Amino acid sequence: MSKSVKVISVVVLIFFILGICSISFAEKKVIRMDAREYYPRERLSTDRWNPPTYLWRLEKEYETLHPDIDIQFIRPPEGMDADVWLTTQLTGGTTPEISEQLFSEVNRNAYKGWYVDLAPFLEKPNPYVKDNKKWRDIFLEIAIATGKAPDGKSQYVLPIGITGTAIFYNKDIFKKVGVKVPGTWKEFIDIQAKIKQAGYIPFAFPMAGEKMRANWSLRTIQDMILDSKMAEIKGVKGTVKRTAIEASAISQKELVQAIKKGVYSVRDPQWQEQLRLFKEWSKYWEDGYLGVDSQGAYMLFINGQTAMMYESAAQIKPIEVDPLRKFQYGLFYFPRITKESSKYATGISAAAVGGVTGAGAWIIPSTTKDRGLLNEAIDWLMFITAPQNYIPMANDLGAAAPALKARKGLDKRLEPFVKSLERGVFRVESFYRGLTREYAESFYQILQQYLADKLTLQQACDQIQIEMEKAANALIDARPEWGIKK
Amino acid sequence: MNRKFKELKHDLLFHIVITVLVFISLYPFIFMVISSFKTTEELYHNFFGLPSYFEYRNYADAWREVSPFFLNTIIVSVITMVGVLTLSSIDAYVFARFIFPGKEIIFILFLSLLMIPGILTLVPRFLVVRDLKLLNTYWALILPYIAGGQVMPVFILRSFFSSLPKELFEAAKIDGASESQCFLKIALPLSKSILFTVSLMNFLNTWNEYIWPLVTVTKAELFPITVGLVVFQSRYSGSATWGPLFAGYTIAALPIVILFLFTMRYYIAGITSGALKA
Amino acid sequence: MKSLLEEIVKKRNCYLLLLPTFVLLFIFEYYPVFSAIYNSFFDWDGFTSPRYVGLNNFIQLIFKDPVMSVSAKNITILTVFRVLIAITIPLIAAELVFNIFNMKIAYVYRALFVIPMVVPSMVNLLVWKFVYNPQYGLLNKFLKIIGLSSLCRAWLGDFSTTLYAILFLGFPWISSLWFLIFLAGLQNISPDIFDAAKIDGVTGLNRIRFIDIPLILGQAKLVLILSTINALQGYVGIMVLTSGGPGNSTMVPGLYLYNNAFYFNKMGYACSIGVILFSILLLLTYINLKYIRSSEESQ
Repeated sequence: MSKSVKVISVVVLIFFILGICSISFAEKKVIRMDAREYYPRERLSTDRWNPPTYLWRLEKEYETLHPDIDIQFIRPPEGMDADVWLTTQLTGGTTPEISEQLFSEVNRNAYKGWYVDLAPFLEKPNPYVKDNKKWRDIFLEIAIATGKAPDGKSQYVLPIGITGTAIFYNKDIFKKVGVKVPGTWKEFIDIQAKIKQAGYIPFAFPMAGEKMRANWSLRTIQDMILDSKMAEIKGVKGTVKRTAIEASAISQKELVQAIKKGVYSVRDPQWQEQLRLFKEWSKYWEDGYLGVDSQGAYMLFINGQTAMMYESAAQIKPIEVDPLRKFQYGLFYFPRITKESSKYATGISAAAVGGVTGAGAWIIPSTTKDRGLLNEAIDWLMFITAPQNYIPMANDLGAAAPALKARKGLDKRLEPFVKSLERGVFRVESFYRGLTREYAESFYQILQQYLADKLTLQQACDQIQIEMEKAANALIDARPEWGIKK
Repeated sequence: MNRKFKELKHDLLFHIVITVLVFISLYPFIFMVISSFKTTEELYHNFFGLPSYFEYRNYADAWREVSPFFLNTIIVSVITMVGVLTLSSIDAYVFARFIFPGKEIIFILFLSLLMIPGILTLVPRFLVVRDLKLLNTYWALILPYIAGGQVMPVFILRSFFSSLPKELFEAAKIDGASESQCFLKIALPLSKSILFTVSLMNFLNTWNEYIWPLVTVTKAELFPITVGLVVFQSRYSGSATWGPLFAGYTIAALPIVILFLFTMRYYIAGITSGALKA
Repeated sequence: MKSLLEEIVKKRNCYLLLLPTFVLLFIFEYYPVFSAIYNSFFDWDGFTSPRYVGLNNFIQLIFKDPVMSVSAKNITILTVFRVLIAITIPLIAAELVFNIFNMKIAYVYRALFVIPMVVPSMVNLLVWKFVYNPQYGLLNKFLKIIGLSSLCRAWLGDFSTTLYAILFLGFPWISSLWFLIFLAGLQNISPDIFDAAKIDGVTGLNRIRFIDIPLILGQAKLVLILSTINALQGYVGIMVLTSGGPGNSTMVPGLYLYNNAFYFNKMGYACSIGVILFSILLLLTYINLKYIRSSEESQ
């Protein structure tokens, strides 16, 4: 063979070997955990405070106890929607052994067979907790109850991070302008007008691609506006009480039925109040809010340019330790809508947005079972949820209160959010998690156009109604067991 | 004397206009490189000026973030380039030098690839890769790149091989050379500069791929530079630390620009000759 | 027949040598085309069983999908704009460089114009994303410095400006590839023609109009076809800068296809978008080729 052919074959062989090496040959059993917010990492120049690192310590302890296990941490790439990422993993079969997903999303997808049922394992004893007979006993009932699947028996998710939302405000600006914390929607709008006159941005609201804040706001406003109609929507007589579990009062099936009956309809002027009030509020947001994301809104707040922002418990620690903050801050709950602002108001207080929806909602994808790593993954989960491990880990992150019965050593700063749950959580879902993902996307686009005056209220509502009916029909097709006719 | 002055005046206008156009075209990158040396605070009050001192720490931070993505792109691009070169030169040689039944049909089949838009095949190709269990591996990127990257090189190389005088090969055959020796010792050496151009074109295309890796690779450690930069951007842009952000961009852009400055002659010659014939 | 078989066997090495390429092509190019067309008649989420819907996807897309209508409108605007730019501005730049008498400097200019093509496209997009940043970006800072701060706005967050911001990307649009093609075309014109023109007194703009342009019509057509195909499929820039927003004002078919496939899990629907785009591209290419052939015959 000539020299060049030899060279070429060697080169090709080398590349081939390189390629094969990219498939990892591990001797140990590898448990990959998508740790999300708990993902341990080094501090970077962009960090203004220390990132969480507690999982490294737990990893070390565990691997000393179990030398045949290798725990690896991953998380979805930043800038990417975590649900989209997880869905791609699930449909592609490349999921990590443990991941995290919001309970409403999990229960929406459960029928696809994506997750392992944790219920049988919750009945087993946790070897890492002293005197424990059943694993489920270490958790607060609300966590177990929230994570239950619609069938009432299976449990596909362990949601053990308690969080809530509140309006954070700059006390110094409030003092300077001479306004007080509002209790009603009217007071809320009035103080924002005053703050705007004084030259500050009253409220930093992110309305770019991410839908979270709009979601929280509309859930809360909708719960107050449709208060008088809740029973009718659910299809029962009497009243529908708020519970401690998000949107548990009215299920997705009941929502679709209400849409079909026309009881829950965008053409209903009572429904439309949500959009009217939301738009009224948008007058006091920052310029170009359609291009601002939550990080941008946070920066406006922390730099003292804006008086208020709408955030979750996860922001408590950052705000506390952020060196950029040069003012006193406070929290207040979402204001109550009264008859002064809308004729449909009943004066009921604003529902809480929160519950066991904070960091730490663990799922085990069914691929873990297929790979034969299920017992190992469960054992690791049992290890980290043991209170002596989980509480310091939660304190280290400071984003959510752990839903454990043991309360020793918990961070006190998260208490206000836990307390807010006593008001009861909103009863019916709003656009983001109520129907289909496509509906969420369409609704949001229409909402943006309505806020920017590209559509009138009537036009926006007509379009939303079409999308909503389309989504309801798609769900009816996907869930024939509901037995709803189109 | 008068004519030379006229020429200069004439040229001068062009020079000025071109310089302005070039400056505007390159300004965003010039700005990027200059800003990469400033600290974030300096960027706030000295936006347009030159940096007062060079903040190398930006590059240290950016390098730590960007280098794994870099490595991935290099590995994938090099392997793809080798694959494309090997296969396309063989194919072009076969098309140029042999006659066999169905040759025209097969060649037209080949050309029809030009008609297939990436948009049409994105979803099914993803499904194919998924069903072959290649997701999240280098092969998910390399194999489709080699497949798609064949068309232009085969086209260009084939017309080049056809243009080589037949006497060269006949003479070699008389001397007892086999067909593969003709290929390796005659055709390839003569087409060095075209091969070079073709490899560069392919290398650059692979470097710029964004959608395909986004769709098939979800493990962050396998991201190529295109996807990695977006992730990198979302973190640094969100916290408004522009210094390391621009340093990262510069790191991502610089090697290819330098590679090109050295090989530009071949690239331009290749495009102008090959593209015209097409 | 027998001699054909003999011929095939005799030349079997040819087929063998072409085999690896065609195996790859079949798996990753040809098969996906048929798979896409097949799947466009189904409603499928990629892993549960598909549901046959016939032409429903296409009817939905063409008549009943408001997002598709907006995408079609946007991509038409973008394509027309980009194609017009592609055949004019790089030509002007090529003419400018071509007419420089000093060869060395001309070479330097040519190299400088090529650099933007070499910078990775993602870096270019991300730098422009920064340019448009409302608080810290280059554009707004520039406007403030020259005293036009009233024009400052959230370029990518404002309904009235986003599409134009996308159009404006890459200013001054001297795309290196088209530039090189035109320059090569000009350089291929035989110098005798220029000498003859000078003798006849056809210089300057007249020369450009009557000599240069007709002689590079071939290049212009090539640029026309390539830039159209490119523009119709493009969506990476929009994906990175605006994700189609706000409110779908910058949504284009390519991005809508991506969202449907990987975000809404509607694989069948996404494939039908692809099939529609494919058909339009085929049609345009066919028209282009026919037009070229007929005009070449008339020459």
